[in-house]
Amino acid sequence: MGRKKSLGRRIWENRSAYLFLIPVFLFLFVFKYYTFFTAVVESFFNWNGANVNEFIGFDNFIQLFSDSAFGQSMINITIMTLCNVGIALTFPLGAAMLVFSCKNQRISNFFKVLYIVPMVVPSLVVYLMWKWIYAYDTGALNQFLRLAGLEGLTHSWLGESGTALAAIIMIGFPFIGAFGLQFLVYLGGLLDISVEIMESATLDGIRPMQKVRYIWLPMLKPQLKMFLMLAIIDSMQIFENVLVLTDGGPGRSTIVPALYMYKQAFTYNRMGYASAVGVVLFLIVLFFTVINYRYVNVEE
Amino acid sequence: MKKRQTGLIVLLSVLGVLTIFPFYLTIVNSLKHNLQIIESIWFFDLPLHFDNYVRAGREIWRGMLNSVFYTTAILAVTMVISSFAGYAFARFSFPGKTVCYFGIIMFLMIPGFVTLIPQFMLVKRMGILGTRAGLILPVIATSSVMPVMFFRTHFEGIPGELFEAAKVEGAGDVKIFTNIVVPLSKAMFGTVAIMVGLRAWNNYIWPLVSVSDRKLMPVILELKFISENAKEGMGPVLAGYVIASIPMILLFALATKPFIQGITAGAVKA
Repeated sequence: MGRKKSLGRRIWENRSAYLFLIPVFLFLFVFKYYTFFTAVVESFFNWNGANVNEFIGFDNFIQLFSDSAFGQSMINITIMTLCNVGIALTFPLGAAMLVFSCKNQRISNFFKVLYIVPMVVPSLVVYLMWKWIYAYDTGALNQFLRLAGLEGLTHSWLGESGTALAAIIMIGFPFIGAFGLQFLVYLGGLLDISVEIMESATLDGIRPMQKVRYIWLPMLKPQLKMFLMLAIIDSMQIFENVLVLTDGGPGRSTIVPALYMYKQAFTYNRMGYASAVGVVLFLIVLFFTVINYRYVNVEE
Repeated sequence: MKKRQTGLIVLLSVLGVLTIFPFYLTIVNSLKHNLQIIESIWFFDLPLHFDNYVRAGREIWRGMLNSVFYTTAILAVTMVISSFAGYAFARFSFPGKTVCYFGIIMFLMIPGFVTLIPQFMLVKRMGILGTRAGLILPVIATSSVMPVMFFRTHFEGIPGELFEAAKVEGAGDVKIFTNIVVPLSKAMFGTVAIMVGLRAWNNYIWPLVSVSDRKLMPVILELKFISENAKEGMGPVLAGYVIASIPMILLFALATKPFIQGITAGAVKA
């Protein structure tokens, strides 16, 4: 027997592994590899999805950089990303810490379920509900403000360019259910911290804030890193909520790149130009992924 | 200590109320007619107008059936193909393993809308644009990516001796998968089923661009056909929101425990 088996033999011995992989790759090849490849190629074309399809080099990208609507969409998405990152790393984490600190098992279980209920309501329904809450005269938010005697603070929340972006960001407040997965994963991370660490810390008379600072946060570092990354990637894809709530308006105040791409493609038939928007977004996500891999994920 | 726990529960309750409040408002007002809503939106008001649900149901019943069908189909195929793949990565060390794995999870960092346009053109050229197949097949591809990662991580945690023992007994790979791996991974299957099911049910953009025939629309799209009128106001619209949420809440109710356990026990590995 040779020390190293030949490649052909190793492939033959593992033939069932390949058979198990065939179905998933069948789907990926048709609907993912091919389409992604097309998206990249067409970003160099003037393509209307029908009869026009000519190679124009980097023209789409050059035009994109002087496109003020696209510029505005990049500014908006940056604001949204920063807010979402801040939210994903605080609200669900805080809620997980609170639930974890609760000594009564039944009470903590109750809140665990309560907090993730919004997660199972269809996201579109959540957006439509908030659209109704934000409505000017009949909306719950303004009605509440009037009840509280704060008439002056009422706004047409989604209809004014000064408040629309913030209103979209605030949807889902207090952000536990909308980030239900994060909440549960943080909670799982806390449950993983071994009992001995906790007990010895308690014996040493550690104060609650010290516990958070010196034990919980360091132990949750992997989860925090993962959700930092996911928050960035997910924010880059923001689309449906804006489409449903404001359609990018008023004016351009809430336009985001994905929505801009969608409109270029399906309203103006500028498929090539839209593909270029997609490629730029992909490169940004790739950039953050690489940074994350090289500089943040040092251990493991 | 006691005092601190009380304060904690108060804080948890405040967060709970804030979290649930929009849903409470929706349910309360889904049972009212316009005048009742105008009078006050904050509490239940008699008479409860269940007729709102009848009117909403008349508009979206077909969408509900469609969505149940689409979600079931997407869920079934996704679970099978992604657990197969996860099993291949977990149990075998075959040539090309790293490349294959990367070839799958790379789609986690490619925003879905990047491939939206080519997908639209492709499905059109395949002649299935605006058909049930056109609504289901591309979604399966997208929703398989994340589960492969989850299944792989989970299957790798199953002790190797179990497989060796089964092999000695003469069990083939398929048999090992169906008789050992699946029964040992029920919680994981439940967890993934909820995540995939939710995404399939919620899917909005793809049906929006690819379906124009109302007979084939999922409920999420059909919601827009419930209109307000002077008598009933937002009532039936809100009733529609509630109806569209029920199936996923049921699915979740069936699997809450394994789901919470699955996620907190590290189904999502950081």
